[in-house]
Amino acid sequence: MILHSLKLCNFRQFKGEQQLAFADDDRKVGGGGNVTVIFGENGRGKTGIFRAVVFCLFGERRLSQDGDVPDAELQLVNTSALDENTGRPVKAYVELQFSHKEKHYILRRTLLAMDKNGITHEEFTEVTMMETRSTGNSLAVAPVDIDNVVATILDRRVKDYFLFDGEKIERLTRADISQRREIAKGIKNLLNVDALEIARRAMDKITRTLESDAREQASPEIAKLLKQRNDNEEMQRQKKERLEECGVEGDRGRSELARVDRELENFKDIRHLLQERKTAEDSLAALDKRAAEALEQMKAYTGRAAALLVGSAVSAVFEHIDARHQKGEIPSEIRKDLIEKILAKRECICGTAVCDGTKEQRCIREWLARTADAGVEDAALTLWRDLNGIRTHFDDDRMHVQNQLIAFGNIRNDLANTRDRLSGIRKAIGTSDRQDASELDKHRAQIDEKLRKLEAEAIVLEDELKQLLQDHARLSARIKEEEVKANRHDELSRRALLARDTRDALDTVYAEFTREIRDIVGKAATGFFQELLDQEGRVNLRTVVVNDNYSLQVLDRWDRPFLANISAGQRQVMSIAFIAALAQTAACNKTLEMPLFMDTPFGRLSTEHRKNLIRFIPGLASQWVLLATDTEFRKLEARLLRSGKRWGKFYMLRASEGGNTSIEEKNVSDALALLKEEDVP
Amino acid sequence: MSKNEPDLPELNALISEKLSAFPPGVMKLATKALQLSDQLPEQAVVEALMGHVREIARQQGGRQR
Repeated sequence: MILHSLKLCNFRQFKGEQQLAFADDDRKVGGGGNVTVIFGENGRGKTGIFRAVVFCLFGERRLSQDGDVPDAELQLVNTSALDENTGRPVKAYVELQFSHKEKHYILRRTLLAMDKNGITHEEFTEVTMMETRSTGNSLAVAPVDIDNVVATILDRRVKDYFLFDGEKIERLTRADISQRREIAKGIKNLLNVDALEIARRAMDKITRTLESDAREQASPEIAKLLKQRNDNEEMQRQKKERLEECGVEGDRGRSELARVDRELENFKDIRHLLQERKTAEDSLAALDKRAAEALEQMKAYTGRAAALLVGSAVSAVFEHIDARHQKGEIPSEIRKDLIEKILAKRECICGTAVCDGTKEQRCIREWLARTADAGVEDAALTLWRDLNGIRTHFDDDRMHVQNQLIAFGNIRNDLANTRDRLSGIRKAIGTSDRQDASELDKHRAQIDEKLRKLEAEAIVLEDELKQLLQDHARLSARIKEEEVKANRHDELSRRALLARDTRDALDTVYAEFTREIRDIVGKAATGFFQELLDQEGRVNLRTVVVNDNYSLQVLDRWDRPFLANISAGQRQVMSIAFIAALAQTAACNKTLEMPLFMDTPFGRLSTEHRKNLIRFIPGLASQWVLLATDTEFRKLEARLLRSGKRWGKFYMLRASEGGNTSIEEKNVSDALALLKEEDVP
Repeated sequence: MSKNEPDLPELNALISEKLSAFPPGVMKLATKALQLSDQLPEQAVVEALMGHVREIARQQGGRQR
């Protein structure tokens, strides 16, 4: 397919009829060129042109980049034209002229729109296609056949490989299961694998039907075995499907893990703080627990400890009695009742008279005054002994309480210190952003867990599949044996056997062929990838592998899967390398007659990647249409493109009245004067 | 790019070469299945192939007898 021209009328930003011609001469370097650059600042309508091509070819009004934008908000007809024709219909169309295999096509899709009460109503009205053969004969393709004609030229399912938005192309490496299946179908079509698949499925259906018929006429034993084999095959199919899903989910999980790790890298500076915070929080919890336990122990000791409140009084009493005891006053040498008897009899126990007023009597009276009653003395002595015992307990209790208080005080100090430390760490960590880091950590742990479960499930599935295959071989052998025994040679059995053998043959051929094709595409993609990568990428990234489901993987220099870790720019480059490899394989190593239509492809690419793309793509594709902004297509890129001598057309999208855009053709030789200098690093 | 045009002769040749390793009846039926699959949707292929299965099985039966 070679694009020749695009005509737009009242489509998106392009008011009235405007057109551009594509550089379409890929036959030799220095000829008319095969590269068209459509240059415009953001909002000028580059994507409008991209949308016009997709709309014209496939009738699709939405692009993948439209995301969740409601259909009602996706207006294709030019707003100024509608404003000038309020209440009247406005006609808009896109006309694409292209050729394919010596046939020239003019394809036009028309729509009508009307603004009524502030609401725009749009509807497709017509699609026409003229086909002109090399003989000069022209014919109008019936509208009902137009989509089929386009599909035979460019399969809708792989259109994203040839008409793509540069910012989104790397998504091809991240597609979900259903998208990936669709993409795989498109690739298989491109590589002619889908015919093989249809043949396989058709032969499988025939086999099942014929075996079901044959079963009805077979002996009960053979019928039972045939049914078991069919059930076995159905189970194999289910297990294989789930195994594939596990693989895709695993890929997605690993990509997500790598993304989370990259995000966590942003929090690298606080990772040690997060760890410290966790340690401090754990310490705080442990200290709180210890403080609570210490308080409980102190409460339990309150009864005994309360006695310490009278400790000083007890000591004073004890010391007073003890002092008297030390002096020998308690117990006294002579008891009080004996002294009183001496005074009453006025005669000492030695026979000496104790007369009133004598010195002896005075001494004895003083003695009496100092001497206590025997009962009191006994009580004092008992008290002295008891207090002595209590004092010993008091010392122990006091020591215990002091120890408890010291321990509790230490815990409180530790608590205060830990709280201060935690407060400092929290301050250093900050608020919401830092919270994200711990959320990310949790998310990472969940993904990790899921991946482990998937891996375990895959191992179980593989074991089950192995077992099913063994059972299948055993069943097939038994069926054959039973059929020989029963001497079955009826035609129905022969048909069923032929269908089964043919299906198995197609299965074998399919497996070998697709493996070989994947290897061919993988090798070619690796070669292109190496050419497109920058120096650093070339060192780290070695091999592109096309998986069984046509998803991609890249291996690093140690042959480890590395897709999850490569940058968005490298993904973009890898996708382009894959497209190039597909194109080359489909064209059997010739240049594929297919344009590469890229909308803002350089946004995420480094300068070296850009240079490599500019050098490489014009020689790879039969035609390259590049929609570029002023920040990605500068003097540097223009010089490089010119040096390749394949740059044929240059258009600038200029703002005109009413927010519209006009398409202005410029000479390629004037481009340098119109473009910006490259950024000075 | 087209399914109806011989865009991929080498790829088709690769498939045919692989099929040649199978018994003649199987190869004949598989080749027919591939040709039909290149032109028709799956159900139509199933219907069209039934006749070929009958014919080849009959021929094989005749040879066996």
